[in-house]
Amino acid sequence: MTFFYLSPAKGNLQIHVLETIVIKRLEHLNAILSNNAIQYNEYVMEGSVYDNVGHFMLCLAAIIEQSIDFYKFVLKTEEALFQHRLKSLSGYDLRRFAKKLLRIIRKTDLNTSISEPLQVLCQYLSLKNYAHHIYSECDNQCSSYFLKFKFFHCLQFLSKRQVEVQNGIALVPCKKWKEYLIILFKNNLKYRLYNTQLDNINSDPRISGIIRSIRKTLSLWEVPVPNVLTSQNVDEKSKLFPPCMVNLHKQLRTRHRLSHEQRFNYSLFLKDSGMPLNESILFWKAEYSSSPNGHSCSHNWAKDEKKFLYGIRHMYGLEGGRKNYSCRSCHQIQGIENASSEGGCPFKSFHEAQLKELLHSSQTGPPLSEINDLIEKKQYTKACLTFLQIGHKDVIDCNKVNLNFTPVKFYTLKNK
Amino acid sequence: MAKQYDEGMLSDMLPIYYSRHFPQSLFCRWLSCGNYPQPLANRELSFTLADDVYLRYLSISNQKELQTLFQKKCPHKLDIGPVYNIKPSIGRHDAIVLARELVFDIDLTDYDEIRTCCQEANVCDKCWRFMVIACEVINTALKEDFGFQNILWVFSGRRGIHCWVSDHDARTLDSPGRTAVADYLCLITGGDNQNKKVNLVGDNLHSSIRRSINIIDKYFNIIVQEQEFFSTKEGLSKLLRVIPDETLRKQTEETLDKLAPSSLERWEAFIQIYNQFCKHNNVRKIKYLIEEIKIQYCYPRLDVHVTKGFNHLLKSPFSIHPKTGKVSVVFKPENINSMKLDSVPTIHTLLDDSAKENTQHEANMRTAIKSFQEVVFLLEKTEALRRKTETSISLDF
Repeated sequence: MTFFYLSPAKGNLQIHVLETIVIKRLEHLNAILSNNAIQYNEYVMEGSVYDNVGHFMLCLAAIIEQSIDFYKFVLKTEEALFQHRLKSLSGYDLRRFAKKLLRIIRKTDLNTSISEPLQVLCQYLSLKNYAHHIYSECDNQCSSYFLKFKFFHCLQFLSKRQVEVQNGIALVPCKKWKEYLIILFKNNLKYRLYNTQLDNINSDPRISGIIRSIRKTLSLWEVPVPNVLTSQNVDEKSKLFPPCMVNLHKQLRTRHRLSHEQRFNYSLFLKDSGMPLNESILFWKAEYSSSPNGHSCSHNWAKDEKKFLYGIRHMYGLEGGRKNYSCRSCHQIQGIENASSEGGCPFKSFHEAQLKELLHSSQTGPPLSEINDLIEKKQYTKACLTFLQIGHKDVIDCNKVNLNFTPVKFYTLKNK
Repeated sequence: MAKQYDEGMLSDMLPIYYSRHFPQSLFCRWLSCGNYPQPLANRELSFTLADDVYLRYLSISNQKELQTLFQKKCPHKLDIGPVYNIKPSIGRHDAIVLARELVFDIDLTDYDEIRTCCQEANVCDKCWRFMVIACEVINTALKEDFGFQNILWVFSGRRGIHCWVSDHDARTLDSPGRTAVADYLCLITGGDNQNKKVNLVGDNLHSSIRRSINIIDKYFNIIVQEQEFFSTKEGLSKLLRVIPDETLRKQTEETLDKLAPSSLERWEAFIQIYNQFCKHNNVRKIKYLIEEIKIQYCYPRLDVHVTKGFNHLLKSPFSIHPKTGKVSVVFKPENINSMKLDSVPTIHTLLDDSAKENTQHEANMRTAIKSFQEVVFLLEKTEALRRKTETSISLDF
């Protein structure tokens, strides 16, 4: 194992040890981020099992959280850690590192845009004279040696014209080899974070327990956790909600009540979109303290405060079974056939005029023909995705997002 | 009596054009090569019919189907899209893009802030010179820096040029790759509010920049004279806005203002002032100012969005431009200098034997098709060679 983290370690660990490893790693990474003196941390020793496990566990957490800010945090800090370690390597250590990487590359199934250049680079760094040169003589001006890579393996250098390119081959001078190694590390990590499919691992309560600890630790340092929604800014932010949630929000604001099922769904959505517990309480209190406007609900805050509080806290995993409830996915919402429901997927359950009005309320004139096309084909999620992409110059990779799309993902993408 | 081009007659003329003049076979061969290993049927085509009816997700399996589709639909506009993993009419939104040529789009409207002879939709042989420079700079970069060999240059039909690169590495380049290539080639940045749009940093110029300057230098004096960049008050103040050093700017203003309104004279005077200035002052900030100005005035202005995306639909070679009636002819980059806009064949002159330009335009059309043929032949050859080496590699144990 190396601190390049090409492949995860295998084995068994007790859950509390796993949690400690990941939390200690977070602390270490945060110290690096805050430019504090790097202290010895037994959980983060290069090449150790704990180091490897901690890294992959953190990747897992980031993939489950699906938070842009958390992705950025992991990428930034892990890259900084890698950079720090690389700098501290002696010529001899660099050779050993490169040799180890070569052995692992041969055994691991990697993205070729990373394994190919990495292999070439390591083949040279494993040789005495090159490793020694990099460690001792090479500086920012040095161009004693050049390595050849295909131009599409050096995009970061290419786009800034930092290397010469001839016939499709980029010539990377030795002064850039360390930087290149860091770029390859970052690309590999990015690929892992954005392309790994986890099969329902987040429904494992042991994992969700660890994720909760991570969130708690991050919030202590005010590291950006998913964007905070408050009872004050939710109206403004609702403009970015998916149509199903815009609908629920509007219903709630108009009638001050929602049916049980819809209240549950909407609360979960708000929680997963970054509304903290105290804000959620304020939000629901405000609505349920007003009298219902054309809604048959008989509850009100004054009478049922205890029940409401318990329910909300339960949802946040602080009462009862302490489960981590997640917002329903699009697939699940589309499965709701309830005729009298205020909710559901608008693309499926609303008739055209209703849908048109709902979509117009958060956008200016969407091209409905394409959306109607998809609705006819019963591709409601795709219709929603099409709606999401209106007016967005950056292409959102639908192929990545389409699997298990959720209202929270919609909001996260829109909120970027 | 030569008739004027009439857009209303397109629906009558196009079917004849498509049957008799459009190089259907070469078109299918060119696309098929770009599709490999996918079949031709996986390539998306889109038609815009009369009355702006827009048809997407069309495809053809062979030339016969193309001819049938042309006759049935009579498209006023013909666009080419990417290669999907499945026939586009079946896959539609769910289909995955597998490949698409690397494309570049250079349009003279992006030079409106620089060219003095025309604006917006207008174009003349004087401002065409910008396209000559753009073509040479981009073509050389694609060949020498990236090693691409299968490059097709097409006149866009009104006031620009398109470039299609069919090499395997270009076709399969992903979006970050295309973005990087676009950024590599793009030297002019900044919007309307930016005065100085080129900033060359570093101790040495990248060899591609140096090479581009050498190409620009071949045409710079001519273009300065033709465009009279610095002759008017407005033109002079535009130049002054690009000079970052206040002292140098003042000196330049005072001297040039007094000179006769000959742009070339003024430019040469500026060079003198600049060289003198550099002898007696700290040069660092303005080390490459002359090069930066040349680039800002003459370097290709790409529409980077076209290059970065790979599911853009781009106008097809040999399609007819509805507004001008001109054919989007293929040309050889070495001939762009001698290309005259009036000699580009139009649907009208091709179909009407009595038209004055008929003979000349028909000849030019034949030349264009021949150029297309050469590109397609080379592409087929390169592809065949590549597939052979690929299979022999996979057989090695």
